[in-house]
Amino acid sequence: MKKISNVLVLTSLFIMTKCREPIDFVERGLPFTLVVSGEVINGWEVQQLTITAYQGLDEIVIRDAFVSINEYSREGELESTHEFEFIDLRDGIYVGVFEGKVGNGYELIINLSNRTYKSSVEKMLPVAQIDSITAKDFISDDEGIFAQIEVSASSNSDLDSDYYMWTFNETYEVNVPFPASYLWFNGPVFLNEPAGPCWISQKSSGLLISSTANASENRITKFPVRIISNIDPELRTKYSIEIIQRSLNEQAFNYYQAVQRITDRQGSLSDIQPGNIPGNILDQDGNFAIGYFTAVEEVSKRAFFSPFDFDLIANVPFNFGCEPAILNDSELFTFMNQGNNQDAYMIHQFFDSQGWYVVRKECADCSSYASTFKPSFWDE
Amino acid sequence: MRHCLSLLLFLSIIPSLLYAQKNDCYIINEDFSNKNLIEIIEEIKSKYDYPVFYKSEWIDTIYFSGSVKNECLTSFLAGAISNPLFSVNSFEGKVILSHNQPILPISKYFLKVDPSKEVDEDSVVNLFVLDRSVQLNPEIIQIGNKSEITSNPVLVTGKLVEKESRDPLIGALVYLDKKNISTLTGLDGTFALRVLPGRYHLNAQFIGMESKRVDLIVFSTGSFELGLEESITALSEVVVTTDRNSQFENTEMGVERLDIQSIKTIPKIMGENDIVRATLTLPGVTNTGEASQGFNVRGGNADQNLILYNNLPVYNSSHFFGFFSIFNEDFVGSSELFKSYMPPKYGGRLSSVLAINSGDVDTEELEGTGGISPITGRLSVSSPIIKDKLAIKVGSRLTYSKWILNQVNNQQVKNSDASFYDIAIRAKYKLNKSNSFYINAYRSKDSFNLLSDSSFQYTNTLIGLEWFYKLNNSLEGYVSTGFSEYDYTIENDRIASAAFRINYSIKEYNIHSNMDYEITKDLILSFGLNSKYYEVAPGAIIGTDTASLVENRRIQTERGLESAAYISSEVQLNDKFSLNGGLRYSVFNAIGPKESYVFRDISRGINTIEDTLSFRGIYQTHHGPELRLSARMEMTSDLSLKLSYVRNRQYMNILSNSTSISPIDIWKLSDEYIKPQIGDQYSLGMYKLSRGRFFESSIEFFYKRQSNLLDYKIGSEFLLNESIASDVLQGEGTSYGVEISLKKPNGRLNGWISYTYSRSFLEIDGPTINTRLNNGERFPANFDRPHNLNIVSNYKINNRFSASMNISYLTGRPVTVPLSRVQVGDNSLIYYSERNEFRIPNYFRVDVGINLEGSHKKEKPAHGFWTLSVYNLLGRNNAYSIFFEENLLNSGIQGYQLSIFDQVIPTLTYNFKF
Repeated sequence: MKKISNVLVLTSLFIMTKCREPIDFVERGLPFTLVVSGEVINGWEVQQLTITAYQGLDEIVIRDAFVSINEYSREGELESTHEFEFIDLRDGIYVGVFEGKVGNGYELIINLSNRTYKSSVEKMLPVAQIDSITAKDFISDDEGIFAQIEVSASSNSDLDSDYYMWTFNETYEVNVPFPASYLWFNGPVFLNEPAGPCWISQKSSGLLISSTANASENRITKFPVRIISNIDPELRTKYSIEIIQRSLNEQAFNYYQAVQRITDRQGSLSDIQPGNIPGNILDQDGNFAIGYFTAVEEVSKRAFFSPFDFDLIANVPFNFGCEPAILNDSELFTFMNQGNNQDAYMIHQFFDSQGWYVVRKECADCSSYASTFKPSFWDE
Repeated sequence: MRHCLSLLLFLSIIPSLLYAQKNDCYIINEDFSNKNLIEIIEEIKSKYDYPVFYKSEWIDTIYFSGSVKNECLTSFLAGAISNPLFSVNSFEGKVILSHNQPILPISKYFLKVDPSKEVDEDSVVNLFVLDRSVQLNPEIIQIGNKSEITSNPVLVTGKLVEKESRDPLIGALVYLDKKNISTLTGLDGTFALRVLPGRYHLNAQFIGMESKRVDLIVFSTGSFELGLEESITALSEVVVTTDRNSQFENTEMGVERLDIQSIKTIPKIMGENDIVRATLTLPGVTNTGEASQGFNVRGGNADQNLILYNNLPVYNSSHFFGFFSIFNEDFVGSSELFKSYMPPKYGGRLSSVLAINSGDVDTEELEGTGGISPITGRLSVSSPIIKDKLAIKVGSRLTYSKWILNQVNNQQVKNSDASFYDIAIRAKYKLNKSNSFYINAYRSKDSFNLLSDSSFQYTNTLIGLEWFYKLNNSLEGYVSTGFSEYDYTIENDRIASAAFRINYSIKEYNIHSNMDYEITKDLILSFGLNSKYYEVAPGAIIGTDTASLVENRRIQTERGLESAAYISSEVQLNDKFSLNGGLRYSVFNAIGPKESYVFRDISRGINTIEDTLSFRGIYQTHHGPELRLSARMEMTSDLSLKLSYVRNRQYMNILSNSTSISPIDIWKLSDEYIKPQIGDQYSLGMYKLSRGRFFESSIEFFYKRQSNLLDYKIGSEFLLNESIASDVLQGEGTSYGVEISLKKPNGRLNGWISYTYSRSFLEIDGPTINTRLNNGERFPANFDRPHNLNIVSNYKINNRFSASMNISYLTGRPVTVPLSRVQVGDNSLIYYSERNEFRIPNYFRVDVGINLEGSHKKEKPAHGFWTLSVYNLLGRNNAYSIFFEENLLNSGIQGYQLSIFDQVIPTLTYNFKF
C-alpha cells in the first residue's frame, strides 16, 4: 500500500523539485524519554535488549535497571508463566539467555528507580521461508544505473504470519586498484605481502516491512530489500547479502507501518501529519517509551553477486579517488620529504620504467578501513 | 534586489492612482460658524465660481460649523448633509445634490411590488441626476396600446440585458423616480411593476453597468426590453455585492457575495479567473497553502464547507491539486458565501455554504465566450433552441499540459501526464412567465501519470434539474433534484505481482423543495424539505495483472439518508429592527447492510475486536434541531448592528491523515461509532456607511464551539481501512476571531481591504494514550492562521485599460517539528514536538494584473481582450510546508522548506466574446 501513497508523493515531488530548499534547524531535545529496542527471537539465543533514554539532546545509558521478560505459554488448558531476568552487560545492553518459542507470548518489564515500564504481551508467530534472493539492474532516468536485491518468500502453513520485517547484513570484497609494493619509511621499503583483499560489512538501516494480509496467498514476490547504485563500491568485485526475515504480529506491523508512513510521506503537497506514535511500552502513568517490544521468529538466507550477474553494472568505481602520481626517484624523495604526510601515501610499483606510482594509502592498502579477515561464509 | 525593484514599482504606482482620483475635485478652504448650508453654497459659488445645483428645501434646515481645509466640495457637502438619502455628485463640471431613492432590501429573485402604492402620472422630468453615469438623454419607451388606457393599475414587465451580449442582468435594481416602487430582476433578467397608466422615469442600475434612465409612457399592460451598457469602469469594477448596501441593510449576517465581474478584477493565476481563489480574499477565509485543496472558513475544516454548484453538492472543488478550481469562469454567474448566519434551507456542514450559480442562459441569441492561456483553453457557446423558450449553454475547458510536458527534454517528464478537463451544460426551458426549468450537467476529470507505471484519476459528475415557479404574487419557490458523484482511481502495475487498481466513489442523490411566502410586505416565510441519500464506496482493490497476488477486496459500502425540514421567516418589525430566524430539524439514518466490529476496549484498537455484528436496514439514527437566528438593528441611518446564532449538524465527514486535504482522502458517514459533528456559532457585527456612501466598513466578531470533530491516531491510513473506527478520534474545537473590512465598491479606484484575526483550536482527549492527541491538551488546528490581510484594488486607467493589484498576508500555518533524532537499535527515528507547536514563515504575496480591452465597435463579430497577470510579483518563495529528514551525514535532522512558487509567474491570456 506504500505505493499508493507514493503516487501522491511522486506527483508532488515532480512539481516541487525546484522548490525545496534546506533551512536552518536546531534540535531542541526532548524530555526524559526511555528508548527500548530489541525483541525476543526464536530458539536458544542470547536475547538482547538495548535500553537507553534521551534527556534533552543527550543519550543516557540506563544502568542497573531491573529488566525481565515474562513468557506466557499454553498447553491445552494449562497456562504457565516463566520469568527470564536480564543482566546489564554494558552501554545499555541487557542480555538474557532463554529459548524463544513460537506461539508463546512475551511481556517486557523494566523497573527503574522511580517508574516501571511494561509492554503488551506479544505473541511470537511463525515465519515463512525465504525462497530466493534475486537481483536485477535498471536505469533510472535521471539518477543512473542501479542494482536491486530482492527477496521472495512463500508460506506453506496457514499459521505463518502475514506480516514481514527484513534486516540484512551485507559484505563486499575490496580489492585496491594499486596494491602497495612499498611503503615509505625514510625511503621506499619493499613489502613482501601486500595487504588485501579486504572485506567491508555493514548492517541495514531503515524499516523494511511488508504484509500479505490482503493478498490471495501468503507469498512475497521479489520484495526490494536493497538498491545499490552503480557508482557505489559494493558491486565492484563481489558482494554478499544475508537477509534476515522476521515474523511480526499485526499490532507490531501496524506500529512500524505508521512510523514508516510518517517518515516517507513528508515533503509533499499532502504531508501526513507527523507526530510520535505510542509504542507498546508504557509506564504506570501512561507515558510511553520510544520503541516497540515484540517477539519474532527469524530465518535467513545468503546470496552472492558480482558485476557479471548484471547486464548494466560495470566499471564500478573504487571507494576512493585513486589518481596516482608518477614520479622518478628524485621527485619521489622530494614529494615525501616536503611536508606531505608520509603515512598517507603508499607506492605501487609498476615495472614499466615510468617511475614510482604514488597513491593515497586507501588505494593501495585496504586494511586501514576494512577487515583483512576473510569471512567464514565467503566462498571462492 | 529583484524584490526591492518590484516593491519600488508598486509604490510608484500608488501616488498616480491617488492623483487621478482627485481630478474631479473642487478644493475649498473655508471656515464656517454655524452657517446655513444654503448660505455656504452660495458663498462658495460666488467665491470659487463652482457650479452647484440643489433644491433649497432639502437643505434649508442644515447648519454647519467648522474649518474646511483642502477638501473636495463634494465630500464636504456629503459630510455636511450627512444623510444617506442624499447624494452629492460631480458631473460634467457641475456639482449636483440629488435626493436619492432608497434601495430596498429585496431578498428574493422575483418581483416585489407594493400594490397599494400606485403611481400617478408624472410629467415632470427630474433634473437631478442620481448618478454621474446616468445618461442625460433618456429614451422614451411606450408601453401598451393607447386605445387600452384604463384608470386601473396595469402590469409592466420588462427584461434587463447587457446591451452587447444580451446576457440577462440578474439582481439589477429597477425603480421609478421619486416613487417608492422598486424591484430586482430575476434569474432571467425580468422584472415587473404594477403602475397606473402615465409617464414615469424608470431607472435601472446594475453593478458594472452604466445606469440608465428612460422615459416610460405607460398606456396599458405590456413589456419591453432595456439594454444596459458596460460602465466605463466595468472591466475594472470591483463589486463585492450585487447590492452595495447589503452588508449594511440585510438582516443576514456574514454573507459575502461575489459576481463574475469582481472575480475578474483579481489577478489571474495561470490565466484562470477562479471563484475559489477569489473567495480566499474575503475576510475569514483561508487555506492551508497555495496548492491546497479547499478552504477554511472561520477556523473550520475544509470539509465543513458545503459547496453547491447550481444547487448540486461538490465534493472536490479542485483541479490539479488545488492550483485551479473546477469551476469554469464562463459558468460562474455569482456566488454567495454564508459564513455566520446560514439560512435554514442550507445544512449539513458546520462552517459555511458556498453557493455558486451559473447565471442565466440567453434564450434569444447565439453567443459565446472563450479564452486561451498558456496552460488552459476554454470555450462556451449558448444558443436558443426555441426563441424565448428553450436555450442551451455548453462549455468546456481543458489543459494542454500533456503537450507542454512533451516539450521538456527529460524522458521521465515526457512519459508523464498531468491534465484535466471539465465540461458543463446548462439548459433553460421557460414554460411561461411563472415557470422556468434548468437542467445542469457537469463533469470534470483530472489525470496524473507521473511514472510510466502508475496513474491517478479523479472525476466529478453532477446532474441536476431546477424548477423555479411562482404560484402568485405572494408565493414562489423552487424544486431542485440531482445527483453528484466524486470518484477516483489509483493504478499501479510497476511490479506485476503487486499490480493493483483502487476505486473509490461517493454518490449523493438529493432533492430540495423550497417555498417563499410573502404574508405581508414585512413578513416573508420560507419553508421546505431537503433530503440526501448517500452511497459511499470506500474503496475496492483489484489485481490488474494475471500475475498479481493482490487479493480483490472491497470495503463495504456505506449508505445514509439525511433529511431535513425547515421553516424560517424574515420579519421587519419596524424601521429599525428586523429579524431573520428559523429552525431546521435534521435526521440522519445510517442504513445497512453493514458489518460492524465490536471492540472490547474503549480505545477500539484493531487488536481489541471481539465480535462482528451484522445490520440490515436503518441501524443508527442521529437527529437534532438546528436553530438559526439573525437580528439587525439600525442604530443610525449609517450604522447598523447585527447579531446571529447558528447551530449546524454534519453527518458527512472527510477523513484525512494529512496536514491538508488531498484528492484521495475519503469521506465517512456518521455511524454507530462516529457521532455527527455539531457546531454553534455566535456572531456580532457592526456595519458603517461613510459619508456619501463611498465606503462601507464592517467589523464582525465570532465565537464557535464545535463538538465531535474528527481527528485520527497518528500514522493512520484510511484508504481501504476496514476498521476506521479503530483510527478515528473525536474531540472539541474552538474558534474565535474578528473580521474587519473596508470596501470601496465604486469609482475609478475601488476594491476592499479585509483583515481577520482568528484562532482555531482542537482538543482530543480520550481515555487512553492511544485515544489522546497532544496529551489531551488543546492545540492549534492545521489551518490556524491568526493574521490574514487581503487588499484587493482595481484602477480604471481609461475605457480600455485597467489595472488591478492583490496583496495577501497570512500568518504561517502551524507545524509539528522534530525535537531530536533518536537512535532505536539499528534504526533511528524522529521524535516530534507537541502537535502544531511551531509555525512556518508568514506568507506574503503581491499580484498585479492589466486588462486591455479591444474596441467596443458594435459591428465587430467578436470582442476580445488581453489580460496580463503577474502572480507573486515579488518572487517570494513563500513556504507551503516545512518538513524534516534525518541527516545521515551528521546524525542530525535537516529541515527543508517547500515552496509552491518561488518565482514570478506571468501569464498572458486572451479572452473573447461573440
